[in-house]
Amino acid sequence: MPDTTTSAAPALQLDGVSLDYRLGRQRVRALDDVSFSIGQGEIVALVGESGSGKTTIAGAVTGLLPRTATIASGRILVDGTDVTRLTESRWSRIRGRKVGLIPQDPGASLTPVLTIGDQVAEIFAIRGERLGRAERRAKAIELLEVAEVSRAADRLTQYPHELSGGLKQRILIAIAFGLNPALLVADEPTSALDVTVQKQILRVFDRLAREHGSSVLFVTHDLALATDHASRALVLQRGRLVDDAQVSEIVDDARVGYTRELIAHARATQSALPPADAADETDAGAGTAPGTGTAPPALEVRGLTRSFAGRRGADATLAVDDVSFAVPAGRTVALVGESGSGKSTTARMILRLVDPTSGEVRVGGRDVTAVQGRDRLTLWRTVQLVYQNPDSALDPRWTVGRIVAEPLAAMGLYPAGERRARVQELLDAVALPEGTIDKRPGELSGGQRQRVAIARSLAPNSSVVVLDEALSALDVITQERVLQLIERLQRQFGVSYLFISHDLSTVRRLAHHVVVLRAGRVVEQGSAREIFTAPRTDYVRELLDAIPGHRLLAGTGSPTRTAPNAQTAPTAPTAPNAQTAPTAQTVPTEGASPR
Amino acid sequence: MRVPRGVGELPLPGPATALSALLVLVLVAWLAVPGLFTGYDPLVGDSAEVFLAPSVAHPFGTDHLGRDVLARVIHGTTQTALTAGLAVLVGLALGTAIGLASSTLGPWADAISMRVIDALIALPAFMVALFVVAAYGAGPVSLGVGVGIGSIVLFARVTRAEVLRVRALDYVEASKLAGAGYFRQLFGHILPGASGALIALAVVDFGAAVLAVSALGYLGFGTPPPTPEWGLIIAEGRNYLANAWWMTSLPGTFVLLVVVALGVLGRYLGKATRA
Amino acid sequence: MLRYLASRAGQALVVLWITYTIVFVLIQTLPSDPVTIFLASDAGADQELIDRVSALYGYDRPWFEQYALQLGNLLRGEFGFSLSTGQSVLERIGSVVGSTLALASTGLLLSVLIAIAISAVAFLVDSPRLRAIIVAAPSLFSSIPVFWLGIVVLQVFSFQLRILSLFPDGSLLSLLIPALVLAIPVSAPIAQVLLTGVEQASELAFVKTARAKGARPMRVFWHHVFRSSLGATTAVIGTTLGVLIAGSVITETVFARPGLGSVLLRAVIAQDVPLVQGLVFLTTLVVVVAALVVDLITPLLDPRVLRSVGTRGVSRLGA
Repeated sequence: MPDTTTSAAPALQLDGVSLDYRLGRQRVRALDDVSFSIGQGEIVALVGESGSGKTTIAGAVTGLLPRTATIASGRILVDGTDVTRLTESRWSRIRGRKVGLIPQDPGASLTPVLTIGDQVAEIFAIRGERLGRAERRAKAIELLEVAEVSRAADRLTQYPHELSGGLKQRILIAIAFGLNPALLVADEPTSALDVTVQKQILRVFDRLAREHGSSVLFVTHDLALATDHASRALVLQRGRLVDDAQVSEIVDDARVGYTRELIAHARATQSALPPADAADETDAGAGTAPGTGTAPPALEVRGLTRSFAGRRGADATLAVDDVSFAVPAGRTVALVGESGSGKSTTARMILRLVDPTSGEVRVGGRDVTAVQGRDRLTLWRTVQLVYQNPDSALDPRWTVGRIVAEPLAAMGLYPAGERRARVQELLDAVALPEGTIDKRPGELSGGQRQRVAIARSLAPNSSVVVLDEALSALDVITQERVLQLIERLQRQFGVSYLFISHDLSTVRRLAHHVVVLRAGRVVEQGSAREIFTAPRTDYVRELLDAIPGHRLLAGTGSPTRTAPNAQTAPTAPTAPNAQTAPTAQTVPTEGASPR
Repeated sequence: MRVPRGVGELPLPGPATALSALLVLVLVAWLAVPGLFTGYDPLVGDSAEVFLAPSVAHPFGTDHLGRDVLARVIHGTTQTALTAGLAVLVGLALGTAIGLASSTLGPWADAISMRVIDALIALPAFMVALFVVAAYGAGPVSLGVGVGIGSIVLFARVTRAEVLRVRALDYVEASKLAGAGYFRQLFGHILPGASGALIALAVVDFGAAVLAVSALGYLGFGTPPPTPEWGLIIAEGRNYLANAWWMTSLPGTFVLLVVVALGVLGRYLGKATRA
Repeated sequence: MLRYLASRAGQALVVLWITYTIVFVLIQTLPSDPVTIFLASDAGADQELIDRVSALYGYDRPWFEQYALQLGNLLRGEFGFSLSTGQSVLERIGSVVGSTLALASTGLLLSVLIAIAISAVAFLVDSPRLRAIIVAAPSLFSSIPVFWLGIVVLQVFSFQLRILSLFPDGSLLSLLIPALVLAIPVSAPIAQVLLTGVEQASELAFVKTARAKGARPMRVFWHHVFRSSLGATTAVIGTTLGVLIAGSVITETVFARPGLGSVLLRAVIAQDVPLVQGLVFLTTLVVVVAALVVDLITPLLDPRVLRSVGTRGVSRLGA
């Protein structure tokens, strides 16, 4: 236990720190005159978008910045010691004792060729403790158990690649607290993990921080997470500290404009009532009653199943298991699940990039399960895909004009002379600035690139667009703008979306109907309203519960005040037949018989 | 800290890259018009001027027959560069053919090509080159082919890896979804995406080929003596180590610089086209 | 593990068989047979002699019989017979191979030491300028013409300093200096792999974790950076054998050492194709066996490797 009573110095203090990165012969300012301090035992969140400099601060206070970084001015004190300009070997005496780190990416943060036991026991060697074999083992097990690592004794002989991401993060937490530093820097400790795992990990982290009385600098891009776990928040924007306030103040009444914008966005995604109108509730389940006389849904899958053969005679695994749902015309259906739940495989089967093992895919009422080879062209004229990462989805050598025109040229849709006009029309529709048509993807921002990808997906006049985690690679603010664009395009062109996401807060904004997948199976589906307000299964309740931001929502600010679709929201709860909408659980399983 | 950069434009070359490019340009000029760069005859010396140390008149000195060593190096560019060029051509043609076959013709072609690639890895390149020279007799053509066989495997592996890498990128699948057929994808996206790495490799491999060709020339398997060739020039100086250090040291340093420059240039191109 | 071993050994046999086939095809593309080529320069050779020797070596038979015959010989450990001396390949090099092995193994050892030294200094040194110089060393090393480096070294040590005799005299120095010349180019690819590990080190998350624990730079280097590059390093050492053989032959020539080099070069000059062919097989066998040994060692150094059995190639650091 650090004796918090005798140490008068703050755990961390930054005085007017400015920091540059060398890029070739240029210098780029990453931090500009940043000052703040963290008291002993205080838990402070550092919030900002990517590129705001928050990871740079984490690096600067742990001495783990890349070699291209130089502190131009200012002073950094860790537990009273000036660490502004230390050599690597001096730093190595500060780290571990005075400041510790819980890294961002647990997957890569343990040395792959050493056992967990070696890596935990290394902290005894570093502290110069001479322990016997048995003693070392016992202490290592004890450390792991405190961080709630299951089967701790067995873990000692395992290698990192044999463990899950959540377990690795617990081990890293065990190591960090095992060293018992005065200040702990947690750098986006759970951004690589699923929400449910994130919640468990942060519970362990909160408990250990309390028990050790550690000061914590909690770095995150997620304001909701920050307000849940910290008592004070620092808000960073483009290298400048724009806000430093108690979480309670921020939640109730943020004084700084940028913080207000972040809060508004967080609230909008946390609490926005699902898009709904009277027709919604009746349409939502249209797919479940095929052939009842109404127009066929834009897209429908029935009993979709995909098994992958196990390696070397292992049992085949079902990546997708008997999945059925429908996307009505002009609506958005969200396919939700944690990583590995089968969302992407489902999308790829719909696009006929992967062959279903059984089940069927219908587009506009037509069965496309059996189309092969070039026959898939007609399918792709109707159903298009937007990828998660706009960087890899656009050929860096092609101009935007050529990229968006590719479907037109390859499918022979418009006469060659009219293609450019059509491309310009599409670029206007996605609100890209004049002149974008002749630029290459490298010259555009991430958000603009995603707009190009969306324009391409609409080029063949497609009526269904599959958005495969299409917002997850973007910054929150950019995410918000693209979200609005997607909503507008739906109103304008009547496109249907299959919105694939692990992020329930954006799903809440966009989806009319939600399908929740877990391990390849549909655990629950229904109108967005039902799923978010009255989930029927424990799993979905758990998922909803794991969304950070309870404190934000509990604040006095009205949740719907800033929601962009607040106008339509109040009418929705009174929809009369909300309860009667049939759900997927009752889908007839014809044609879904496994082989 | 993301730095957006267009892929079309190359990053600013550093001083090392600029110097390397300059040296390669000089080589190209020597190859094209060697007579413009030296007034001395590379074959016939002046018996009054044997073993002259480097001076302004003879920057690399003169040899045992009174020939200007620099003139021999300049005129030797033709032999060395053309032989090395032949080697790169052999490696590039056969290597990319194997690499393309393995990565585009399906699992059977891939399995067979991969085994051939494994075998080519196991065959020591230098031994193969000597074997070709032994079987076909010494001379620039068998030397070039022999050295080229050794680099087939490099080109094959890089071609295969690049095609597989680019093909797995989302934009190629997006092109398929846009309705592009196999050849449209191959020629529109995959090959342009893979070509950067191949060009870079060809430049680096040219340097390696210069090294191998001059080593074999040194051993006497290139052109027969009077014709200048870089390895041979150095070999001729070996007998006069005691009294004429410049006959080996200066041409050797020059070969070293050329290979370094080609390496620097190749790595720059690789980095520039990779983004 | 047994399955891994068997699959690797099987692959090695297939590789040997294909290399044999490649070389066989090359010989078949010759305008005439090796005996004719060999005796062409000999004025006294008449057609009858050529036919007799051809029959002796089996070159008069149809190609598929030759293919089977030679393959059978190889399987019995016969690498062929020299046309100039009639000795078997193994007899021919038996007396000199020890000298080549001494040179090559000393050279390999020195090259590994050089590579480790380069990467350690690059990791530990603070000055960016010094680091840039050290990091550039391997690409310089791989660009040096070995034959020229040998000559320069000879010039300095024999003619200027007069501490090395012009011909090998059995002293330690007459082994170490050529071995060092040989080690320079061989160290380049090994150092490059180790340096990749070092260069990534500042970005690699697990190195960050080790540093964040408070480990000293030396400990971070040996226990994390170097240790995790070890698998890839061993793999690359296996692939440098080709360069090592080439370098040994050239170094032997420059320093006038007896060995594989002198036998090989005389055979090439005489166009003694069967002897050269036998030497090609022999060196290929060495390379393949070395690769097999490397394949068996790497799983012990890097636990991630066994997972990727069948998918050739060792996964690199954190990739």
